[in-house]
Amino acid sequence: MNTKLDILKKIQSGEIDMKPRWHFVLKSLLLLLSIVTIILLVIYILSFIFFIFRQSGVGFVSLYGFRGLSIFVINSPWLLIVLAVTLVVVLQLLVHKYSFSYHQPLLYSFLGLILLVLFGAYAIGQTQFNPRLQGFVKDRNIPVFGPLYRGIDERRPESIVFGTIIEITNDGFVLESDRGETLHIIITRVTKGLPNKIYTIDETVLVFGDRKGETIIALGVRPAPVDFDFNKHDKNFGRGLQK
Amino acid sequence: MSELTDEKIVIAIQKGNTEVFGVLIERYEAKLKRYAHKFLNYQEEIEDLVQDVFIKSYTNIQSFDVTQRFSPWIYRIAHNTFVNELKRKKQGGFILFDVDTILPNLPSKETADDEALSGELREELDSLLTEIPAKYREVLVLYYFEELSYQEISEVLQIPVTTVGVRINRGRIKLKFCFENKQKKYNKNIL
Repeated sequence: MNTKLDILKKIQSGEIDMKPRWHFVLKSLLLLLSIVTIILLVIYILSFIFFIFRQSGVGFVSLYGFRGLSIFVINSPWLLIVLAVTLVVVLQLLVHKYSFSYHQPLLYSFLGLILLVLFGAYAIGQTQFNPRLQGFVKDRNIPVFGPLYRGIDERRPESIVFGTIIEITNDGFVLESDRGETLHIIITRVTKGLPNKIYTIDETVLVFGDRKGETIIALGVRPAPVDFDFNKHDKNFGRGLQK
Repeated sequence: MSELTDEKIVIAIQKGNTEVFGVLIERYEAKLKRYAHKFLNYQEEIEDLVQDVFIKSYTNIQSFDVTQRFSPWIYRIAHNTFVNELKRKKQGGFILFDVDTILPNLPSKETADDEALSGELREELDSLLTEIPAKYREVLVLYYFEELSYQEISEVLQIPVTTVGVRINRGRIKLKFCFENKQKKYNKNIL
């Protein structure tokens, strides 16, 4: 068997042919496009996860002891988290085709990617992107995004309440929740909040605690996030307070 | 044509002078057969596999960046072909990401000691290579027999340069261990 003659014969007969340059250019562009798309997708998913944490209050309650941590773990959007992790792994596989990636230990390029998408998600979190998107899809029948954003509120456990303080009582305060309920919040020695905090009327807060009917024994109280949409359930909510 | 560099020959092929691909075959056939023989650890089908490497090289020649060196590029194609062959025969043991490519390793540079050892080790290497795992065998073959630099091996295997150094060092230790075992057995037989 003469390798050289065999191959040259195959080349001359057209049995083997070289792929054109545009084939490789297109392949490189597709790879780059896939990487950019996945990066943007992961950034969006992570920003949405952080948005869920803020809007459902689940992200804040992890600070309130074992009970808060278990609520956080149970109510976290695991499907989205697993999807984001999977996409980062796929991203790593794609990026690994570039020499700047495989010349470094895998740990560095993986950490680099994680930092990149976390920073991107943080940057998105500083904008009104998710609140605006939520406002946009709220009353529209938009596939995927509609159910996603409407589902945030359903994710909130009963032990977490957002609302406005309408009255200060001896043992706590009365809260008008964003769902239109009037709740009696009891502050005890175990309630975690800002040290020496004096609650004031009209203050918007998140309350985490044990709910029994209209009463909540608070385990934690903290200011509500500034971008929390108090009008999403009751368009008249809060207006009565201004009168 | 024979005095031209590999890269200049590739430019000519890319421009349509396909005849000169024969020069590249002449230059690399023996090297790739030796690489295949030592890496795969068997003799059968090596002709076919090396022919396959040349066919893939020709098919993908337009993807070659002529500002780079040709030899790591063709060895990369050979590496992939042989790894696929090992997988096909279920002898591979190759995984997507090897542990030694995940964590950073201390820089390991080529030293004068390596050069001195290379001549001395060659003969021993040849007989003992079959006894060490493929991932160590391959770097040793590329370094001592194919005489690629750490950087070039890093390109061929797409792993960090420091990992190349680590694998060469570990490969040598394993070879030394095999050599000492062999010596012990030999001495026992004599006694």
